[in-house]
Amino acid sequence: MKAYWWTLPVAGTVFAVGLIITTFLFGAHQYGGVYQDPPKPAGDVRMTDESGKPAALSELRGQWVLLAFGYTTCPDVCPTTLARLAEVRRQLGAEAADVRVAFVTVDPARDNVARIAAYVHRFDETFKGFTGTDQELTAAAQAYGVSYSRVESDSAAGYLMSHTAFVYLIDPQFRIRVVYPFGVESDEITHDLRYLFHKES
Amino acid sequence: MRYLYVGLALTLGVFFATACGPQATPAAPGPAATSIVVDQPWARAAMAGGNGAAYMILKNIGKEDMKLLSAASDVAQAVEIHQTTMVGGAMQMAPVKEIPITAGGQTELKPGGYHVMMIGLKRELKVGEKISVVLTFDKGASITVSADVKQQ
Repeated sequence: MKAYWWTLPVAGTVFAVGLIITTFLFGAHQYGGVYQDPPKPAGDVRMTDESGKPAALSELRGQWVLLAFGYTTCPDVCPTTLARLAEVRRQLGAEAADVRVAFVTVDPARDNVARIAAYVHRFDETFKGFTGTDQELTAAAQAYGVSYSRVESDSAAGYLMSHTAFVYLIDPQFRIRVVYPFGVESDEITHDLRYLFHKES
Repeated sequence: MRYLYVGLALTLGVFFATACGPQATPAAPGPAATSIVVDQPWARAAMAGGNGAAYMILKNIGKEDMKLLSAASDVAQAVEIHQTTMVGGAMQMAPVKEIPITAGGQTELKPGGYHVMMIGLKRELKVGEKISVVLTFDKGASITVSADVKQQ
């Protein structure tokens, strides 16, 4: 009996290592946001793009799209999100060719075409920006369940906008696959995209 | 009777010394200034005419609670202290009167939370440069920090 005292710790170690390897090879992918199962058809955004022409988000069908809503007066939440999405494209390198980022303003009264173009292109030359009429914005926001409202303030920045700040990952079939909360790290989105590229190619 | 006058004079002297003493130098950075240590100050790259934000960790190494009351910088038309909060699932930003830093504790100014809001940038904030931000705390303390401009 005394000769076998080591069997328990050794068996335990073998089991633990096996579990780690199994999880690594066959384990479920952990998404950085809420995975949509089954995928939901993405709603369209029909507004004016950063070049000043009428455009639709669905024109990007065939590519992966990361969609965010915000406003250019915002110095905190919106640029944080856009900077991270720009970082995702850098991390993907050559694979970023089929990944687009679109930013829809919830403040079309202040965000005209010139302003939204200057704002999004600061982060990445390939980013698309959308602005338009209140009706166009209402339709786009409803399609994604985005809520936004104008909040009066005594700030020198004028009124501020309250808005939901999710990022939507849309696949080449124009379906929503993952919804990310504000604060998601670029690494998490890049990891998800790479996983989906390999799973679905 | 003579002792009463002396006592009264001493009492008044101590009273005025304590009541007027701290007010004699209201704007100068007093000992209180040294109780705040600013860690990792940075500002986000932003376009001229737009708005910017600066972030940092404020550590209070003193024994008294402190408050950040205002911030200033010559790169913007106006500088305010703001806080982003989650209200019913939506992110909402609003000016705040003060940012508390408890004694022995720290308060982080970070994306999606407290930040120094720079409104109407007079020039572009470029990655790699440094900008100067003056922080004014209660008890007449102020600190000038040099924030690295980053794209993140």
